[in-house]
Amino acid sequence: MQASEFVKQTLKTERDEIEIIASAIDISALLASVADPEAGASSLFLGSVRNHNQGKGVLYLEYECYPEMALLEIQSILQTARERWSLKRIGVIHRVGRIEIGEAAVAIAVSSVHRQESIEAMHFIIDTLKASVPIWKKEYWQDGSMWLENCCG
Amino acid sequence: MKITLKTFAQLREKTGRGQIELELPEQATLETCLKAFLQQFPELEQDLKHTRLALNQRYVRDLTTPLKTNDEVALIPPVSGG
Repeated sequence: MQASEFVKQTLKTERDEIEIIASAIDISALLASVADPEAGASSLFLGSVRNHNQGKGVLYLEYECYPEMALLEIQSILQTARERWSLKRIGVIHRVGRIEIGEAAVAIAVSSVHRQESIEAMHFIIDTLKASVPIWKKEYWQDGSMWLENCCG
Repeated sequence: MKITLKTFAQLREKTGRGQIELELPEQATLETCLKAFLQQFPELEQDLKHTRLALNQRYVRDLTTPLKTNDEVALIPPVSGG
């Protein structure tokens, strides 16, 4: 799926919002979306494109997604997180298409009354997302490219 | 019955198409669908060993799962989001 033809996909419930987008992630807007008067903590995770992997210089990454299923998988991860921790609001944004070094590919924000819940839930959400959500990245080097595979987290 | 088979990442590149329409016999299962796919792309048999399956946007493991017309099956290679 080419970024140019990708239409933003959103799944929104009363307290959670999931987005798959093909443009830069607005981190301030994401943090604002999990603000809650009862929350004393907001945890933010950003996954960014780095300039090296396994000893090779990386030029950029290209992300591809099965958007309809990715939204459902992330929703199911958020439901599990809500069963384990008491959380206020959750926002998850994954970007697709070509992403340059230093830019965020994924952002997760979680708010809760106290910090422990949102920190643990954020950790769980990113680990589970990497293991099961149908999103793929292709790494581009000076001399080639390769589809990657997440290992054990 | 007519079903849609979606491919992604390396499988999309190797098939040259992100979406394949398959005509399957009545009583077809996921296994029937995979066999029909491999008839078109026999060189991808190895790739399928590392591929998970989804039916209508949900992971399924049981190859005997029955299909119905207009189902959407997806071949999910090892994921690498995040």
